[in-house]
Amino acid sequence: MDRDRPALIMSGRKYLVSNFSIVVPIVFLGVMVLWPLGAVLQRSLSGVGVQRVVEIATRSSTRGILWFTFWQAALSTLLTLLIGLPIAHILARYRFVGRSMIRSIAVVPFVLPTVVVAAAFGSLFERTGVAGQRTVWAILGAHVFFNVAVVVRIVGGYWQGLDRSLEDAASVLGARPTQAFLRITLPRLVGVILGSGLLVFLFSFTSFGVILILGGPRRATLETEIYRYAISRLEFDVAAVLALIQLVIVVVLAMVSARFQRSYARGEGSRAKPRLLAVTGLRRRLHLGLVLGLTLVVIGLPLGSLIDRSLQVGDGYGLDNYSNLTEPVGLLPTSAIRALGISLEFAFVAACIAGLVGLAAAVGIVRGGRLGRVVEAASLVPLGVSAVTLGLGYLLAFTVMDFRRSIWLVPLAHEVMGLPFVLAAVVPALRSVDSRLRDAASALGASPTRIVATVEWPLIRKPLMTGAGFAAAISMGEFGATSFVSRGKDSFTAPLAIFRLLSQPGDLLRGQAIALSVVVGVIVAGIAATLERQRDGVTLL
Amino acid sequence: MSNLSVKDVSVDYGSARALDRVSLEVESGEVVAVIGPSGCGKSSLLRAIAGLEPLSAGSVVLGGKDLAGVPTHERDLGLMFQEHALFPHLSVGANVAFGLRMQRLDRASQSKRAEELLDLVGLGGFGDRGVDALSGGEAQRVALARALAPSPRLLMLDEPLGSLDRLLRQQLVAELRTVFVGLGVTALHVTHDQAEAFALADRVVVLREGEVVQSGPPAEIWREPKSEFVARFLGHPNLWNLDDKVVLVPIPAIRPLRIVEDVEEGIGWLRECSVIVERIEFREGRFRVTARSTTSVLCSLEVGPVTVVFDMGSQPQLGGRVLIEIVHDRLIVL
Repeated sequence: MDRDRPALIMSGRKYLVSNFSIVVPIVFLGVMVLWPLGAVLQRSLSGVGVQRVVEIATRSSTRGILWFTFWQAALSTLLTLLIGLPIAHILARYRFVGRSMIRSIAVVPFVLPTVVVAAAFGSLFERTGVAGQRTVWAILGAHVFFNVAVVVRIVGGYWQGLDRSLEDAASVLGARPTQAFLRITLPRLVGVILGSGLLVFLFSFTSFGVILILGGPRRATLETEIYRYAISRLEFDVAAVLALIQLVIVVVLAMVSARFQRSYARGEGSRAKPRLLAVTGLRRRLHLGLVLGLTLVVIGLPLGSLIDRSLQVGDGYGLDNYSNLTEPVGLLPTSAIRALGISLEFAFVAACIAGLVGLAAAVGIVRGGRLGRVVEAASLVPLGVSAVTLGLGYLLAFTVMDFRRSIWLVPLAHEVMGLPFVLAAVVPALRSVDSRLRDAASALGASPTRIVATVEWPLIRKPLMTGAGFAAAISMGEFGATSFVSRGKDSFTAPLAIFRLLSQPGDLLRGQAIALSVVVGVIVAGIAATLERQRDGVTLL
Repeated sequence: MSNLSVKDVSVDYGSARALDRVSLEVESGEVVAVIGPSGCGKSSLLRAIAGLEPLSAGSVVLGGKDLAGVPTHERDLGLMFQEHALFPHLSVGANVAFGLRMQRLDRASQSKRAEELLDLVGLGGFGDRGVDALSGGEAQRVALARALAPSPRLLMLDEPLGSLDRLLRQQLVAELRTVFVGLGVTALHVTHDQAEAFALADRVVVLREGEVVQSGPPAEIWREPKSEFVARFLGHPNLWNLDDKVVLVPIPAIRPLRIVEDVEEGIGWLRECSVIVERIEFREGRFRVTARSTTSVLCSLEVGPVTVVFDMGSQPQLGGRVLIEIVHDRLIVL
């Protein structure tokens, strides 16, 4: 018997269990990820014809879109690093009151739905921005807001693990603080900074909801163009070719990013236990205060502006925007409150399926073998590939039995997006089940089934719940794929309602959209905060 | 002139006091070892002197100048860490030359000096190597070379050999002593290993819970520990509770008088053996202990809860009877 493998796999009905753990996720991921991607590839490569592919890819409008997609992503990344690194630094090095709270707050934006963030920045720049330039700044601001958490968590976590005695050594050898930072600390951080920057670039490059809502008709990226061609103009060929370009770029970026992650994962981080510095002296206090202020402005201002705007009624304040949510609106197939109900239902269904499939997949992955690796790789695809590409894939693939019109497709698509998070939580927990625990239980007379019930299940239950919870949060806010596969009033989710309300002129509708954003944001942040607080649970980043 | 003078220095971590009004002096060219169990504040003392830890009270004076307000990088000190703290992204040579680079020495002088020091620690030609490939002993030698390169006014060593195995430690202690004497280095060395301290230092300071409890030359400290704590920490085996007092019986104070039962000659000599006490008498200013030897290795006899360790001189037969006497005027009442 293989000692390193969970009894869950090696139990008496081992073939049934192991086959189940491989077959279920493979069928699932095959249908929900690989098939639609295959459909996009097939349509763009053989369905369109090489000449037309080249023509679409090189036409000036495509080049313009590519250029904007790239530079907004690059600029977003730069700004995110500029703001995220100082925050990562104080969290990694200083001991101060509210440190863990700031750590948690910095992650809130990352879990918020894109439409909510877009609504927040829309309301922020509605009043403050310089007309004309403001759409771009709103987009960049939203991306920074979103991704600051990525830099803070990844770089900050690594930084905290860096042995501080090296800086002490440099200082004793005569290095001024700036010299010690530039010559000793920074060189060891370069890898992780580039790695996190690449991730931010990837997220900004594939950003959809933010640009669709804030960019208006003039600012388009690959993502929004895929959507426009597929949904508004029904030119699936062009959409598929753009998705192909997107796919190639994303795959290359993801591969480079994975390499970076491997290299800094091998580095020295997290070996030493963190020793935090007391904040003494005027300079340090000033520095800390400045960065904390920056953090609160970057994260608090958009949220505050969103809440403030949701309470504005005409020239005064009131709860009318919220009470209006129950009123039917001609523009929507259903009332906003009903859309919220649908979102909650879908979130529940998606979380359940993600939990079940995730559990099976986790067992399959831990069991190892080639198929396990296939499951692992396939389950990670939705993280990198954009939701829009997947959504387009569903439209192109599920023509059989008209599945693309089924309302089930929406929670299933959400489940696929949530699956990586379930796996991120469950797989390490399952791997960490110490084989000695199993041996001990077995020596005490526990049958394999009992081992599963008494040793393994209690250890993975919490991570499983956490992962499923994140899947629910993601489902609540999912916009990209939903915008492709939602049909009619029975699959009309809250993010779709927010988008629809925001894209129309009129103060009343806008107020409703923002009120609904606040409600969805509070729900999602509430889920995330609950999960984040579980000590041995798993965090999203 | 005293080179380093630490006066009434206190260090607090939050509400926990790590050092409590510690004072000590290090003369120029003197090697002082601070010993004490882990958590006694040894490292805090070095960090305080280096300016890496703020003082709650007291002063640190180096070469006649108060260091208050002088940032770490301007203190002109050397510090060797237990975990080497070599810079992983720099070569061995660049590590050694780091302090010189901070002094803005020109490149040629930098590399010349780095090579000199690598030669000194027996690592000539290691300059271009990466630090990852070094063994523990090599890494510690590089750390020494790096700390010495800028010719610091005071070299501080924080458990520099703690992570090495015993054999290597003994070897490096000898090398360190040679280097210190050769260069006339003024050094403050912190360790929990009293053997290391005794081998290396001109003077030993015993620290307990942030307070200096004794200080003096190694031989004196060993011979005349001033408290039970010091005696125990140094590893004195014979500490007896007699009449509510703790009495230290130095090993040379215990002499075997004779072997009661005959011993076969010619088996060889052993320094120590183990015995079981049968009777203790105090007569004419002498303890007379009758004991039975049990093994031929350690000579320890138990008096109630007390164990006696002494130098047997000749090897008794197993189970043989031993009479020892304890020279009364050499007992130390603590």
